[in-house]
Amino acid sequence: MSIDLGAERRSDLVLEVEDLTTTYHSHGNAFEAVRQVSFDLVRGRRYGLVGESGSGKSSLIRALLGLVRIPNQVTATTLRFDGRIDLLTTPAKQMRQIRGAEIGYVGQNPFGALHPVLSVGEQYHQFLKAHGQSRRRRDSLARAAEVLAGLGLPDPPAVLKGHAGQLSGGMAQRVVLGFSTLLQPQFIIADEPTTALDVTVQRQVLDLLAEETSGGKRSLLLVTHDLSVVAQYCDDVLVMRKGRIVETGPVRQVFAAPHHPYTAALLASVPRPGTPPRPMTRTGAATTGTGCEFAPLCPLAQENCLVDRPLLLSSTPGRRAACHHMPPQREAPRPVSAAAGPGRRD
Amino acid sequence: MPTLEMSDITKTFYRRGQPVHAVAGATITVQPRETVALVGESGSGKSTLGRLALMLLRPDSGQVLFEGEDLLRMPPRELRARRARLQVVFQEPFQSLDPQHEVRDTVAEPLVCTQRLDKGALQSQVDEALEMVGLGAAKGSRYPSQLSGGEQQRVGIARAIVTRPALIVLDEPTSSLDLTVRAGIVSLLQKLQAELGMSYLFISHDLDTVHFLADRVYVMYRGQIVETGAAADVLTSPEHPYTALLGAARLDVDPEVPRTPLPKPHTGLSPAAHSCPFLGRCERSTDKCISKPPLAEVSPGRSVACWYPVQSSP
Repeated sequence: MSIDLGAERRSDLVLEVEDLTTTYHSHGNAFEAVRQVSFDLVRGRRYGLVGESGSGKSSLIRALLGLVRIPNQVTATTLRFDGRIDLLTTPAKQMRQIRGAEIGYVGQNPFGALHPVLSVGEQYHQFLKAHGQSRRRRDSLARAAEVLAGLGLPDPPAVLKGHAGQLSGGMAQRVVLGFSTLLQPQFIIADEPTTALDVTVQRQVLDLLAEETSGGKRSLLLVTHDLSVVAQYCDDVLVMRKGRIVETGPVRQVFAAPHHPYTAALLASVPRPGTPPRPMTRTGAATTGTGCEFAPLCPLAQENCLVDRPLLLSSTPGRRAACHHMPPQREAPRPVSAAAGPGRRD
Repeated sequence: MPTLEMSDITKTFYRRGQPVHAVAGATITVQPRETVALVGESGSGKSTLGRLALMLLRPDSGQVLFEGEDLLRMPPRELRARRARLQVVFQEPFQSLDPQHEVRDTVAEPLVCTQRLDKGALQSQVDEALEMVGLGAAKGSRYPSQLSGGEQQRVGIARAIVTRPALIVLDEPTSSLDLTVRAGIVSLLQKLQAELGMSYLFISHDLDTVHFLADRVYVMYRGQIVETGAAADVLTSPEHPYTALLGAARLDVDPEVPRTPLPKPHTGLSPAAHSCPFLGRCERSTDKCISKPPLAEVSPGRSVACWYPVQSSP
């Protein structure tokens, strides 16, 4: 368990996650997509969750939103939203009220999120009705038009009358962003919201998302594989690899001097004029099941990495990294009793 | 002699009876050993132009010269043999490989189609290609589904180089790959070009990779070339407002580098058939832009289709 920070400290946290594991079951096989993940999100900050495909970032998001269904399982010692709601035990019916009203969500494909046959306005009306916010269509449409105008969509009444198929990718994503901000949720989760969009449209959508989460009242968890998006739009970063968080910390500090060799490898892979992107190379080291999963690719790997998986521990104040050998100036190893167990240390 | 010369190419598709001018009068050249990039947003016509270069599509008008020969007038049998010199790597590695073929058979396909070789020679050339892309001959007996995305793309590259082509069209070869895998593919492409000396026509919307890999670049907008020149010049000091917009929208991976604000378009005007295609999204437009600016040279090797180029008329 984490150190009790007291009630006042608690209320600063919009999300507390401890020891979260997501297990998928298929054809008699169990697969842990998210493994013993622990982190806290402070209210009013923008977090970037980065990782490559298969790192478990989308599975983590689905777990937070209560969208993992039987026979798949989510387990955690803590999964608390806003210091008051246990997302793990909240019944499905209540979760439907929380999603949309308290936690907004924007996915990658806006056309998958929108109904192809119902008009955009009707979808806004049903959304508001489901949340008990509006009974009359006319009121819903007026509220929706206001939100869409705020998101820079030209001619909101025409958009509301039309269907998803008539919208461009950028416009459709703004309509989805409208749903995620309409009820003023305090926490927005965006899963690769601009991956399918052109660069100029990506900028517009991200600028809007930044605007919606500015002022320090709303929190944002932005899932992406694009380090530039994190660099430009997030305060803090969480780096995931193979279901585990390997590094967390303020974006400026992490990008300037990563504390995990995987983060360093990711940053070195970004093409920059003049400097060739550096691909990762296999060192040939073989690990046992208990070793660090990054060791076979790690330039720093040593004997202990192959058998002893490093825990995600505080590296410097405000930062955590799961590595035995980074940062190099880290103090001598803690006594076994203190470092054992999956608990947090910050 | 240029490896590829495409002149005044047009290609129109019809969607629900409405014409879509995918390529509307584009001229490009690719010199031997050169990497030329085609950049632009989705729908700009860059992939269509790549398919036209490969003769996977025939243009409505224009000329395609490959190693000095007119591909449009070439008899089909001869064209088929010529394809050994003209290869392609697609965006989606898995979809571009036959799931029921062993990797070795896929890589052998261009050789089988274009040359008569005995089994031993075929085998050794295939193994050599697999080695060159870093897969090793042992992976040759695998099926695509048994390989990672990066490995699948290496198979696609091995298939493209096995006939020692003069030109490879690379249609967004890294877009669907993870960042760390992408870096490996980019450096492989660079290494192979140094070893084998072929030209690349590199289609991409990733300006960072283009800047790193390309010698020259063509910027496309609505089926037209709006700017061309040395990649470093075009990307660092753009002349066309559209190129400038692409540059401004780019996000730097260094958190200390602030975002460039996006220019606000001058919205009084909207594009028509004979106007500048960028009208309506352009901040610099005036009434003059109702007539289309020609692609005109502003400095040696550098052309721009704009009445008010960014650097020359600030």
